[in-house]
Amino acid sequence: MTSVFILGLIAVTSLGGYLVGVRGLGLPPSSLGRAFIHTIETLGATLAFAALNVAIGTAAVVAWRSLTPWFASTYIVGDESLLVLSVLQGLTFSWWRIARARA
Amino acid sequence: MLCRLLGAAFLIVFAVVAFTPLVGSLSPRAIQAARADAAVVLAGSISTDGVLSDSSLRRVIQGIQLYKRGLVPLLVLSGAVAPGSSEAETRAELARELGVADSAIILLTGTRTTRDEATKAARLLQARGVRHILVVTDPLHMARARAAFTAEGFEVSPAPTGRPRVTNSPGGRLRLGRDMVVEWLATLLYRTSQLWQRRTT
Repeated sequence: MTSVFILGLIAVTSLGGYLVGVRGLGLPPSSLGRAFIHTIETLGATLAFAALNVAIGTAAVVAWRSLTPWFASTYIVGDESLLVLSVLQGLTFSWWRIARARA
Repeated sequence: MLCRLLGAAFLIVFAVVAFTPLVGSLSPRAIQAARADAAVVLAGSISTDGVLSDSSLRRVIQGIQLYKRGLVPLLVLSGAVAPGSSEAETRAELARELGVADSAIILLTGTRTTRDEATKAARLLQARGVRHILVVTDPLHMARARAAFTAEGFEVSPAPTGRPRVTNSPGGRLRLGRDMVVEWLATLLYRTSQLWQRRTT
């Protein structure tokens, strides 16, 4: 039930966004496909940064544990802030590529 | 191109995890606890102001229930130490308030990892003749915990805590999926370090 509600809500607001884009802002519907591909690429960049952060973070914690007498938990790499920051990294990287293509 | 492929894979995994019952069906089921010589309640975490985490509280309540049902005569309470507070001490206080005899409580303080808990428990319990134990932890953590305690020579029966029913919403399924990934990574790390130790000894 929750899933149906959430998917329905997303469908309604997406349709609203489409109408505002086409009628209000005069955006061409033909470029929506390209925008979706940019979104997919941004997601991919985010996933790559998240995987790198987890891998390098875990290696750093393991190295810290074996090289110093102090303890650090590997659960630190599961912190939600790391995901938010990975999204920021992915967005910035993706926009950087787009900015270069436009220049 | 790589970003595009990764992004598409991410979207598919997200849709499957959030909007299908797959992760719920992969997570471990509840098990009926058996009778044993002791219950070892594994550490969760405690805040610096002395508040037990949800997971820590669920585990200690499960341990107290096992003792009160007469399934174990000894309750081993493990715990991390945060500045100004001790998880094991806080759990022991709660257990005493809920009717567990002081003589039945054994503290494992300052434990850091599951393996650390297994090693310290072996040192403490095997001297008392304890061989068969109930390990109390979250269902996802049970496989790794069981392996660590079995490696120390214990006969281990699992007594996992219940998991809150969060798997009927997309957010709950995503959290469960994240916890499963974290546990898989921890198990991978545990097995790698075990292999490394075998090679170096």
